[in-house]
Amino acid sequence: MYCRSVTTARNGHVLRALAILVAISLPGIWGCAPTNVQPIGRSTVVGADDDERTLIRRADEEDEAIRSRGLLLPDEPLQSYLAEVGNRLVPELAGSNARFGFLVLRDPMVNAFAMPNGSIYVNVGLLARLQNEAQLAHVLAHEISHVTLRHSLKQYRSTKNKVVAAHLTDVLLGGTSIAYLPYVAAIAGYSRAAEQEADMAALTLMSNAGYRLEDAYGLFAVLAEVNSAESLLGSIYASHPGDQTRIQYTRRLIEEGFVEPNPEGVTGTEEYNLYKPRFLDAAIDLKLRAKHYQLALNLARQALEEAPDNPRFHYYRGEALRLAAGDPEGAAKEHAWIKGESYRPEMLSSFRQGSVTRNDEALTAYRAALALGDDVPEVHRGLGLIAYSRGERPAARSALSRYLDRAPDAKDELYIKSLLEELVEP
Amino acid sequence: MTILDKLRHCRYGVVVLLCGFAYGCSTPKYTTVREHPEFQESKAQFKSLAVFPPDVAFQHLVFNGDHQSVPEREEAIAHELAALLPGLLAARGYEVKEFAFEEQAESDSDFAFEMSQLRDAYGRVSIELYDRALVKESESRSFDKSVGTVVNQFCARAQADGLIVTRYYGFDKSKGMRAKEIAAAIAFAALTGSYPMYPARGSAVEVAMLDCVSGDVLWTNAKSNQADNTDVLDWALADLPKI
Repeated sequence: MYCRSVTTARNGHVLRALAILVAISLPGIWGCAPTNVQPIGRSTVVGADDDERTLIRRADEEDEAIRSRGLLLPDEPLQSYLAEVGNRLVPELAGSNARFGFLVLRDPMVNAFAMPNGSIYVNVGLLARLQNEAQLAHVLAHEISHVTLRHSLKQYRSTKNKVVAAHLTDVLLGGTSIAYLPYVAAIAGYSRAAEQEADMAALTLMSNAGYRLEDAYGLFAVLAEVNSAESLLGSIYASHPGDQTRIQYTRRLIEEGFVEPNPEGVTGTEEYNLYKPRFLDAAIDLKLRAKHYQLALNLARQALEEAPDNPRFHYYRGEALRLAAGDPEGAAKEHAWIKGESYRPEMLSSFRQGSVTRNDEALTAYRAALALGDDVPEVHRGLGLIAYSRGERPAARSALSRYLDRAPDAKDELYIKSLLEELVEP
Repeated sequence: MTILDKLRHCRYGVVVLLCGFAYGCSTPKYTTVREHPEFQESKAQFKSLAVFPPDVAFQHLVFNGDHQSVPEREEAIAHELAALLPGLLAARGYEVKEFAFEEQAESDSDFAFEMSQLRDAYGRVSIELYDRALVKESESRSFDKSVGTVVNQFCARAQADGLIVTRYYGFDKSKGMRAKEIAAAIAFAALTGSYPMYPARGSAVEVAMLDCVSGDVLWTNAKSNQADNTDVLDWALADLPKI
């Protein structure tokens, strides 16, 4: 029994060592299983195999969920403009069943994404950051290229391979779950190679549509200024190679003659500026709803630089300041999130101390909005709520009543009426 | 021989029992419930409640990682939860006001968006409410969180004092996934001598009552279960104070 157990123990060590060796090598073998997929070209039938059919079915379901949850920006001219620019970029795919659709999402994050059924979504948060149509064209061309290069299908197969490899490794390592750690990063977003491939293909599409290629650099510079907290893991911004690397890579492609530079190409600044205030308006509103006070304030400031006479942007500036003043904990947490730090309760004190000043600045912003015309009823709500928070009852009652007079269908009517009842003189 | 028999024969039995009781009395009780500091005093004001459509996600977990949503299950569970909630709330003394939120959303994309916004707002608050699963009962009445006035428009339509928001997550596993977990458990047992248990299915629910005027989260509870049905809702609401 003793000898047997020694032998068993020795064999156990050997077996365990073997298991670990197999466990280490298996992911390499399995993770590299071929994921050859041909790009969509003329006469390509999209959805000819089970994997692609599955992806397209799910994308169709997601399209429907986005629509039914009201997540499409309800602004027909903006949606039409995006579709117009997108359709100009779609390559000639005669004989193929590939279809493309371009839609603006009511989402404040800086992001755009493509689905394998050809639906391309651009968040209004990204559109608010762009400077001209050529930059938009690059975003759309990049996403179109993800579809035509079938990156979702490649990613889908690669992810399945990696997860299966991780499971097998996990069993061999005794179910400790350590095996999953290396795969978490590996399956998040497209690979760097796929992103570079899409950047390269995007330049060709931009060139074919007559856009100025140099504006691709401008896009990366704009993205570089966006705080990483504003983009999502796996988004066009966060998962991409560093923006400097992308600028260098794109410049090299042009210099090496992969695509002809076209300094006379279309930039489309004027066209884009016709729509940009509406993109900014929607993006700031959504940021405020998401309690991104500082990010909303930054965007409102940017909007005021571009349109200093727009009362809504003054109102948004006031709202961002007032809401931050009324929610110092939320503002402190947002500050930590933007800085990439962990929230610590001691951060709260400086935000509490700054509340009075923020409310004063908010009042100034609201008054600036009123000076440009009494077109934004919510300005009166802001004035009334600050007066209420300061115990200035007559001023609060007057401003809140004005708000309800000017916005009889206000969505927060219940709350405002409850305050007015409370403010009734005894 | 039972433990009590052993203790009876043990001269230290009484001492052990007394220590046990003393420990039981001094150990703080923990709970998954969170309450607004003013809820106990003001709960009578929230007699009428509207039930917001439950937010349901159900996944079929598979070996190759390509976990699939199961829309039919999600729809069935959402329907079941919505049907159960009025009875469970009525049993605790609340009056349930009916409003067809989903029908309204189908014809009004802005209303649908506002519904999504409320779900997002609650999702953000929930992260703060449940940064840990259990809190001491003494701490459970100190949660002052709000989803904001986005809640107003729903309550105004339903003419209610409070809004019940429900989130449900459920899963089951494929045979391949189960086989992998059994193999991993055997391997783990061979290495450590202990055999981990992986549930084949499960569910979790979070139910919250929101103040229709301020959007304050008045009361919330979260429960989980190793079954992919709606039993967990009953458990979660069992802790809701009666009025």
